[in-house]
Amino acid sequence: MADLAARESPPLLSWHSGGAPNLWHRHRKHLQVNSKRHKSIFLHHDVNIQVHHCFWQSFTRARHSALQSFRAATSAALTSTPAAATSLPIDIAIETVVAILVILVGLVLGASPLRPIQWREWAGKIEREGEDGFKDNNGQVNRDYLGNPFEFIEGRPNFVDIRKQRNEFAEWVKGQGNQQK
Amino acid sequence: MPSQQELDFQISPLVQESLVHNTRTLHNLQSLTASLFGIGAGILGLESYSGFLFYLVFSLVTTLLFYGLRIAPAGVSSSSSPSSSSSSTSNKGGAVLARYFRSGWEFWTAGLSNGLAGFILTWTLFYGLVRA
Repeated sequence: MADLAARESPPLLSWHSGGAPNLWHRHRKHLQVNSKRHKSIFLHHDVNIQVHHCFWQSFTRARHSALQSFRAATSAALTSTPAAATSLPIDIAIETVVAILVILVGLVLGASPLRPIQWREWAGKIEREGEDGFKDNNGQVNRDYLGNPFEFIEGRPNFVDIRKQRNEFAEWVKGQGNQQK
Repeated sequence: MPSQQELDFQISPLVQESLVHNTRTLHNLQSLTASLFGIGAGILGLESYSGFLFYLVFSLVTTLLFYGLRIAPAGVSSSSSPSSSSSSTSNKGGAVLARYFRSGWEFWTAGLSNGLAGFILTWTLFYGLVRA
């Protein structure tokens, strides 16, 4: 289902160049709803979108400053306003900051889970959760997961039935004696 | 005669692997986001002190978000479970942080030095790309 939803999402450039905020917001809501079920996939998806968005911002900004410097150059003869060439429209600034914040949330949520550093808590976590407590976001068990530190105690052999063995030995000794006769 | 700290470590030992893992997770996040902030500062065309202020504010926001989204929920869930008994009585922020990091000061301030080089790199790069 995750693949299907990811395939259905519209191409990235169409929101940017089309400038359709409605579609963008609807899709973001869709992402938020789905992100609970397919957390890791959609987080990466979200971060990808935002990184694209951020690069788009820099392109917009460059285009804007190129346009401004062109205008300033052409109208330099009429009016001398160098401040107009360096000022940034407020919407570009807001969009940049919002994009950074959304990427930030995505990256923080996508960071691999922390582990307790106290030995007793760490061993207790292994005891309670086993491998499930040491998976990264892709569902793979971490490479430096060593397993239960008390494995050598858990796997000890059972008690030896010494009476049975003594009887067997006695039978065998009797058998030896019978054979020799 | 061993010092008080050595005695503490002998009574409640630390897991080096977990310590390294946590520090590395935070370090990765901070260097990644620092280059991101550099992109933002370059796009916004910030210069000198305002750029560094931007970095300071956003790296503190990163650490706050990391604390709020990753560390605090883990502390809440562990104190509500019946198996944990000792640390739940004084479940303040420092106690939750001490589960994952050795010192709080290091946690809150390490991000500033971790990502500064990456920040300046992408800041100058994008400033140059946009302004050129």
